[in-house]
Amino acid sequence: MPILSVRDLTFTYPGLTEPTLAGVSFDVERGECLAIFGAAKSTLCLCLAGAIPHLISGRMEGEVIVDGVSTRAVRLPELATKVGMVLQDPENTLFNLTLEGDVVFGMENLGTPRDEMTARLEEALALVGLSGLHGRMSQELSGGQKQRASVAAVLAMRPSILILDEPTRELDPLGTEEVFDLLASLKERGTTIVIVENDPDHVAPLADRMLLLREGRLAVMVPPREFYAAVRDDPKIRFPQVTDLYLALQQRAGLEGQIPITLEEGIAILGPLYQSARH
Amino acid sequence: MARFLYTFALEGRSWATQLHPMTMATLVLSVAIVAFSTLHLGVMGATLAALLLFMAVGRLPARTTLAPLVLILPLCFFITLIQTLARPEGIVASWNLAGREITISAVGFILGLRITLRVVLLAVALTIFFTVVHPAKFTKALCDLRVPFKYAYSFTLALRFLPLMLEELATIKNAQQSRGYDIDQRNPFLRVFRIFPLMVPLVLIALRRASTIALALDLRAFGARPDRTFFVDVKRGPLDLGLRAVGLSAAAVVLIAAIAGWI
Amino acid sequence: MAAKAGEFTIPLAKMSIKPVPGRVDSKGVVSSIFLSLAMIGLLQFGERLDTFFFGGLFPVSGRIISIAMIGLGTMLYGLVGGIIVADINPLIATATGTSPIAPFWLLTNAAQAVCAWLVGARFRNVISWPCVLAYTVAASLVLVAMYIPLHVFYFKMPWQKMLNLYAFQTLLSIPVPAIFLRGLLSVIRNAGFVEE
Repeated sequence: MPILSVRDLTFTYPGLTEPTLAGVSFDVERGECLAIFGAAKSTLCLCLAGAIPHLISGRMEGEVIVDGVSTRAVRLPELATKVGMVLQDPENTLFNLTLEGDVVFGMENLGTPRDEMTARLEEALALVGLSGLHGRMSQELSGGQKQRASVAAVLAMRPSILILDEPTRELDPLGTEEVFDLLASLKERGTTIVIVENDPDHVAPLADRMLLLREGRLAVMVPPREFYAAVRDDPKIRFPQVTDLYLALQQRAGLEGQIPITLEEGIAILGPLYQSARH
Repeated sequence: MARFLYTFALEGRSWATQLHPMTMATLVLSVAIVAFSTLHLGVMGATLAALLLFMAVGRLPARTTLAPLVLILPLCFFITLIQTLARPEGIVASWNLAGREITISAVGFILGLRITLRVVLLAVALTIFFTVVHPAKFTKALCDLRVPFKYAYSFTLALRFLPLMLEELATIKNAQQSRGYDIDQRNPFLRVFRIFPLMVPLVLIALRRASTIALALDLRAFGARPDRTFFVDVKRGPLDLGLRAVGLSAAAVVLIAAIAGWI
Repeated sequence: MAAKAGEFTIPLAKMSIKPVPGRVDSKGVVSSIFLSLAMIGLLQFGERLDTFFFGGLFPVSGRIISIAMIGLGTMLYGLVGGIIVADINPLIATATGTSPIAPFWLLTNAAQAVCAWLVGARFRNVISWPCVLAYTVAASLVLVAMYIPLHVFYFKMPWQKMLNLYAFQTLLSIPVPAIFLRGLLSVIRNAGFVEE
């Protein structure tokens, strides 16, 4: 059974006549990483997290089922144990004065006993590589540390699914690397991840499937290589640099074979071609 | 903001940080009762001495704790000046200035100093309170008094985001100045009236940021249940009861003595 | 009261909510806190002026900014929101040692929120000059009435000799906050923060 099911999801914001999401349906399997592209991706994430319809007004049709539970049928606090969402700007998701305070905040809200909070705090900080920084003031953390702290705060609530909406948008390259290293390790542990991210060089190796929304409708949902092949003519999609290069060469030089999505794959595929061209 | 950084550093190094927040609140209330009841120099002096003793025994750093008192110097100066010039009794000097009589009253001067001491008492007590009490413990204590968590938590939230908002304001100010808008007027009156181009963007930024933070809070089950648990532990010990008893008793004695006219 | 199209009743941030307690969900509470933080930031600009006026005993800029911002918070989010805007500032000011008379502001600021609520609840359209002026007049007079006992009983001031200063303060704290508040409400309405 999929851990996340979306059935005919349609959502229209107040005051608008055209729906922002229209008839979107897909499943996500446990342990999978799904990357979302296109317009209305943040709206889709808010639907998956339950913020729509509980917090954000509008007309929602269809259903989102998270770990066997419809997001409409339960209150948002109950959904928080099933799906956790990390927003773009970590500055807006660290509310307490210290790192420790932020990580335990969600658990406190859910009434978690103190002993269990202590154990989960240590576990969450270890997962994100921030052990020993309990008493550090949140505002003293670097950008990458803040975003990792946001992830820890969500992970401490033990959700089945982790949704990240452009988690590295406000970060420098080092912070971005830290976050994606963390996501890779979480994926290895079997965490289901849904991510919206405009950094294709980092997302492509991580994602099992990629989903494209066009005019609110699901246009493409396939593994990365097929995705980039399918959207090669879409000017709004950014490609990993190596993929971009390969596709350009494929078009002009008639290359055949597997589309690379990482630098290593690119070297493996294009390296011999370059060597033979040199000789 | 530096005060709160120091409070966290004090945890474990000062026994005073283990006191229940309501104990500290009771002590502040006791000092307030004394300050409002009387202007007797001996009583106020003894109260101030007790506060300084508390700081010494509690190993609270005097420099950091008392530094904000510098800000009350202008107020104290003006209080004393107004009393010296305005009191009709105990005049020691007078002269005529442009048709108006200006008098200097010794009684007014002493009264001004007493009122200054009253202001200092309250300021020191409150400063000690916020140095000793951890904001998270303050929130817990308020919740124990049945204040709903979302209101009790407001103080922590405000402390957390105040530096951010001040940064935003600095950015707005620079942006407006780069567009030729001069906020740094020498004339303090004009400075206030030219605040509107800062006010509008700051308010909009505040509301936008608040929307996102509220969403993030709700996604972490904020306000989900009234019986939420707390990671910080706030316990009341024998020292708490003792200090509350001493503080309130002393305040009651002073109040009764003041009402009876003994002091 | 039910609003017609083009009319804006208190609280503005959600029309169907009653003015008491107003909008007290997460968004209402957090927005009120942030308005208070904005107020704290803006108060810095008038600090020098207020210190000039007898060390803060007769604040001018502080009064103008607080009347405007507390009125804004109350009209947007109702009485509870307004009280949050009003009382976070004195707490922070006390905690950071910014002002020794900050504890008194807990009451005087809350009184401004109550004025805004009482006045706003009587107007079909709070984004209007009559409403904001009525509020600033009420708030200014209430503040004078509250500051006199503070000055008399706590500071032992001869209030009769301070009448000119009270008058000067009141004279400025009626029109200036009204202009600020009216401008802010219009901008906020146009920015889409007023929910129909």
